[in-house]
Amino acid sequence: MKPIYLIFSTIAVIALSVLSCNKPDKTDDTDKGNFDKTAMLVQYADNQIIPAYATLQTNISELQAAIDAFASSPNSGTQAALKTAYANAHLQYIRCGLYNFGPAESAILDNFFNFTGGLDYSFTTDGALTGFSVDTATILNNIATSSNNFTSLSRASFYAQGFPALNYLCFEPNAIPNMDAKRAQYLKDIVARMKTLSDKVAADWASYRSTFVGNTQSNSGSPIANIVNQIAYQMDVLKGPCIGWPLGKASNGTVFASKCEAYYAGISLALAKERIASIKSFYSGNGSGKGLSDYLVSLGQAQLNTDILAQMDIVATKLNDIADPLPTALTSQYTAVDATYKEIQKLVTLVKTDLPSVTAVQISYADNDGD
Amino acid sequence: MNNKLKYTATAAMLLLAFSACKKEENNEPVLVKPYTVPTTYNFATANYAQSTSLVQMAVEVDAYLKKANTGSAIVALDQTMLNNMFSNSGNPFTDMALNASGNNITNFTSDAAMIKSYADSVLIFNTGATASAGVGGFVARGSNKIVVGPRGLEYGQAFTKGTMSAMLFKEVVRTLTEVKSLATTDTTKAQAMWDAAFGMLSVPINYDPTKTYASTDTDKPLLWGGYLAERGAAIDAGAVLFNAFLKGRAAIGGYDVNVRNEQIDIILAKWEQLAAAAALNYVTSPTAATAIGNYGTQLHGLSEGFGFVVAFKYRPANSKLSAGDYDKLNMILNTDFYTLLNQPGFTDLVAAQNILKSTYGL
Repeated sequence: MKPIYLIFSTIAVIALSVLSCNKPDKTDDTDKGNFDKTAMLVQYADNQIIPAYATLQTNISELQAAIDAFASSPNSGTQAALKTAYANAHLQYIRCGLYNFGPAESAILDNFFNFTGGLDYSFTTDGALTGFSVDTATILNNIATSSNNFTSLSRASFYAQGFPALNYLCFEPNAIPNMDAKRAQYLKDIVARMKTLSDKVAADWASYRSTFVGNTQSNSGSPIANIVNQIAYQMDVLKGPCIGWPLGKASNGTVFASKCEAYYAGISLALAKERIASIKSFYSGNGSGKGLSDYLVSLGQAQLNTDILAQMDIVATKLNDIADPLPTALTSQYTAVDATYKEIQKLVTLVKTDLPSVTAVQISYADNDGD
Repeated sequence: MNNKLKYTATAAMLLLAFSACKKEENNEPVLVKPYTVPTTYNFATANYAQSTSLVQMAVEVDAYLKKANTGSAIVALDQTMLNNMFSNSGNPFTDMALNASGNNITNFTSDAAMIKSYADSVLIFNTGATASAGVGGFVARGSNKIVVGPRGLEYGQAFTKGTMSAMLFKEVVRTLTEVKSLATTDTTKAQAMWDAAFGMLSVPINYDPTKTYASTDTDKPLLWGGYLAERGAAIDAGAVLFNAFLKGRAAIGGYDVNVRNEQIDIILAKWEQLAAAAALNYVTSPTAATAIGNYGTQLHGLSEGFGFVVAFKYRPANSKLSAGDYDKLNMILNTDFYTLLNQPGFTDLVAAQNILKSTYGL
């Protein structure tokens, strides 16, 4: 008997004893293939997220300048210039809205910039503060009293600042004659706050980046889980607050045209189109070969990936079939909007059920307990 | 080295390998009998009808209280009906077998008056008033609503999760702790108590932790059983609890008290961890960006968390949760919910999250 034999048998027995006491470690079944998840996260951080916030900062600065010009000299010329600046900033925010985790979530950016009203609210009455509402009562009261409730975590606060409030105060039918010193100050206060918040989130990404790229897990709160959750969440926003609820899908067919996103600025349809384009860009990693879509392929889910991309294209095509403006189209082109809604629904199923399942991610924003 | 030495060494190591899994030898004179652990809870003498009836009564009360949440208009509830459900008098349940069961949830619930007051409060605040800080009434939740008190507590959830804690979990802790003290040969009593505890989990005898049970499935796990998948997936609660119940039940018949008691420790620790995982979820989800500004979602979540934290009051003696941390959790969940939800940085809820995470390894 060679000593080496004894060593092997000893190792075998120890291994057996360890195995018999402990459950085998869970294998990470998401780690098939040789996909480089770190490279994917680096791509998202460096090529998509961080540059997007930098652009948002620029757009907010330009918006700030345009508001100053409009406030000091309210006329159709300054208003038109403001509308361009507003649209640029709002569209850019739609791109950034997908990154609502980490610094943005800590800053509660989405609520303060562009409150969706939450997915747990549907429309019942025109006056209810739901979806992309504007709380004109609170706004006008804030202006009259030269005060604001911006930091309050309440619906009245969210609907009285950010894009909802700007959209109303700058583009409501009497925006030009209604301008006065108090109103001008309120507008400036809103955009100053948006500047502070977007600067903070952009700055926070500098330190958050290493946390983001350094965690390739898929558990709740991980970057990959956040990416999947945000894609699903933004699809739910497109399905409900953007299209379905104004169309009457939660109100037995009663249309709520004024609850379209950025109703007064008249860019609801452009925002919806940007939303699906951004979702596709985020999902595909902007065609870099290092996106979630490539990750799906590496997991042996090429067919699902193809289906998701194709359905995103179908939704984009259907939105193109709708003629601007969306609030009018809700009634004048009901069939086209309804057809879009149905395709959005199909995409929601793919990204909210199939996508989380194959990436081993749990959808955490929806309460799934059924009670 | 010769073969004899080799075999001796190997045998010694094997002995070591197996004894490493057991606790030290006990001095019981009764020898362990051979037994097999089945894969389903189909023990010949298994009977947990009483536990099942208690679970089903709680489910019926929950469903009755939830009627108030339907739509946006007032749906009136009947106090007498609710009283009868708690005392099981006057045939209050739709399942006639429950009416004839001779049991009622009041008798098995600790702090029963408090738990019933939660249910009663649903009726008290079912007024149609719009709730706000300091004012009880309705809060919209989707196309329906929830009924909350002046501090934002949704009393229906306080009742349901509170009952899961103060009746079902408490009974499991009480029963299994007592089983631990039973003599090796007292198998009939131990098995009956074991079955009663198993029944509180409310899963089918052939429970499959990997299966997604449809809401229409008649075998669908109820209450805690439902939470095995809902909040317990990440901690493997379904498989751990079900397997421990099977193994411990088999061990009783085999006079194997060491294994029996080990399984009790496993069950109580995992069940408590499941309550913690659920509580953690519900003190976290209301702070998510997608929930902020949405009191229907936030208050509902916190109210569930409130009910799950009630479980810790009945935790086993060897719980990992210190008395000090329990007091802190209790204090936080008893703070006005509107205060909690408007704190910058959600300091108290984050403190609660940290206690639950560090204590229970979540």
